[in-house]
Amino acid sequence: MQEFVFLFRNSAEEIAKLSESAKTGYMEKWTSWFKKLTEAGIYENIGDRLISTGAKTIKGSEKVITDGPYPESKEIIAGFIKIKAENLEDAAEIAKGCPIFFVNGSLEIRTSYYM
Amino acid sequence: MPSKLPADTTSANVLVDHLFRHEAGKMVSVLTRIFGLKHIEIAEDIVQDTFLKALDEWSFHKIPENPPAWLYRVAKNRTIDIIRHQKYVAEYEQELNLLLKSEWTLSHSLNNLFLDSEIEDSQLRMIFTSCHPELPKESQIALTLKTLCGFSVGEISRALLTTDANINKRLFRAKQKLRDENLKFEIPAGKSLDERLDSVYKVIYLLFNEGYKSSDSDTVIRKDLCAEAIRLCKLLAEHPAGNKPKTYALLALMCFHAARLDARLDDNGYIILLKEQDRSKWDRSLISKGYEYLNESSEGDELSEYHLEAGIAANHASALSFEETDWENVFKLYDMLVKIHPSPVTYLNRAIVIGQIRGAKAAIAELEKIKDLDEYYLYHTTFAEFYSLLKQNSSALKHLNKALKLTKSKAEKKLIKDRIETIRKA
Amino acid sequence: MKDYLFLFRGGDRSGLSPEELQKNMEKWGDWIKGLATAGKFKGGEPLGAESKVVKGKKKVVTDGPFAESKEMVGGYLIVTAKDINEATEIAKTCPIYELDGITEVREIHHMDM
Repeated sequence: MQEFVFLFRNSAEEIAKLSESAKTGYMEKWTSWFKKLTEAGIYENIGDRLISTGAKTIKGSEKVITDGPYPESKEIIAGFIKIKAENLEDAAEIAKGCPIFFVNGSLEIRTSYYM
Repeated sequence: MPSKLPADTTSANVLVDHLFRHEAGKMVSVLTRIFGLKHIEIAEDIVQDTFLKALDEWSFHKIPENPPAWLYRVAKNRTIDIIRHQKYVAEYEQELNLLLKSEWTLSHSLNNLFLDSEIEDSQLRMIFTSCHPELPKESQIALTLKTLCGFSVGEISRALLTTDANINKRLFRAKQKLRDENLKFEIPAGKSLDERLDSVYKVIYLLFNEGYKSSDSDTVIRKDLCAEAIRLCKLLAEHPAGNKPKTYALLALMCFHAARLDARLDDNGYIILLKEQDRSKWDRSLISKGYEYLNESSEGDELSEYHLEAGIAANHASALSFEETDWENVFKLYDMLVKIHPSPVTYLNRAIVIGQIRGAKAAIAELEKIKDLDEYYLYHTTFAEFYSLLKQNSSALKHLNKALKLTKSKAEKKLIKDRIETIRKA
Repeated sequence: MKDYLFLFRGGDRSGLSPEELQKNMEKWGDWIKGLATAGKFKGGEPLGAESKVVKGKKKVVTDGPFAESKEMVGGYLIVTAKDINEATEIAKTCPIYELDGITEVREIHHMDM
């Protein structure tokens, strides 16, 4: 068993497209997905939604500070969790159950780095 | 897999044994700090595995340039593995918990904990723990030898004149107590410090005596044991918690005694008594250290048993010969000592001094007053000494024969047999 | 007090000599230890180079960005601070800028289960 980090990305555009009731339904999808992962012993409760307002980015040797999250070609990181899986392929399968794809988002899977 | 080189097991063995004695205690202490007292076996297992690996590798491959560094590196890596594996189930002490659980700081924190100053701190925590008054007395010594001094169960059982099974029982009980009583791995502070220190002094003193007197029937003197006792006491003295007059008194006393170690044995490994020792073989630098510590110990008002014994030893150290010893002064000190430490052995030593001052008859009278020493061989050899001075040879021989039966030590037996021969020939 | 996520990007160390790398790692360790002593460190770790991305409604799986990519998230840290300004001040003390790196500071909303 290994640990993996899921980085969730979405674009503000796609979120804006959702109606109020769709948003609620979307949040519920997340809650039930986390529940499922917890019950399967996969989710280790180290992760959360990231607030996109009031964010800051500090860049380079001059330490230039700009407002807002780091823009990665329209997408920003919306949240992250840590899970357990046998291997990267397994983790990818688990990832497919994530609600982020409903808003056309993406999920990056990373491993813990042993130096 | 062994390489094509022939196995050099002998030199590897010797080196590993030597290093175990010197480094195992440090490593167990640091690892116990990391994993917690309740998991001291993890610490011991890691150290054990590390040394086994060393023996294996160094027998078949080149011995590394810096063997201790090699050992620490292997132990650290193993520790990292275990910490990673038990990441979600283990809880470490508050100060270390988050740092050990994050990959940013796991290796870094371990490196810090293996710095010299931290190693000393961990050893001090271990000393206070292994000498904890809550642990059964006999377990304290066994645990100290096992965890701090790198002694194997076999070495401990020989040093303490008992069986491996007994030692294992004592160690088991001690560790059980550590778990059940929820004892903290810390250096005590405040009111409890003095009581805890007394416990540590007792164990160190016992350790030293085991080495100095050495009841092992094959080697008379366990220099290692003496050196370990002194090392632990020095460690104590260097820390604010242990920087007390009594600590220095104990150090002084041990230095004075240890100074005589080389003169105490002849070339065949047989014992030479104080009065016959070649004083030129006494280690003058140790004696001088003894005086330094004696000096340090004179701060404050307390005159503990360690102060008095150090004073007695200092008298011997400064005397050019046995006959020139300031016996009156030594007697005064013994008189004070029996008041605070009225043990039969102290009375025995006092009686010997009385023999110097007032003659053999007075000594014998004193010896007869002492109860509870009838099974102690030195009691009888002392009687024999004074009887033979009075030319009462049959009494002397009676006691020597009793002494012969009471000691298991080969060296002691030889000494006694020689005395018997000398008296018979006269 | 709130929790903030620091996401680290860039600060590529592949050009460093072994000694420089060692020094850099010690700097990071010291920095985080300092945060821990100040009671601000809650967790975090460096992330491995291997990565996969699952994307879009069709959930297409591809290999992730290359390790040298400036945008790739190299690691993260969770830090406690009063507000975004304090969190930003803390983020400015990170060793990553010496190697031209980037820190993104985001407030964490802990989800109720």
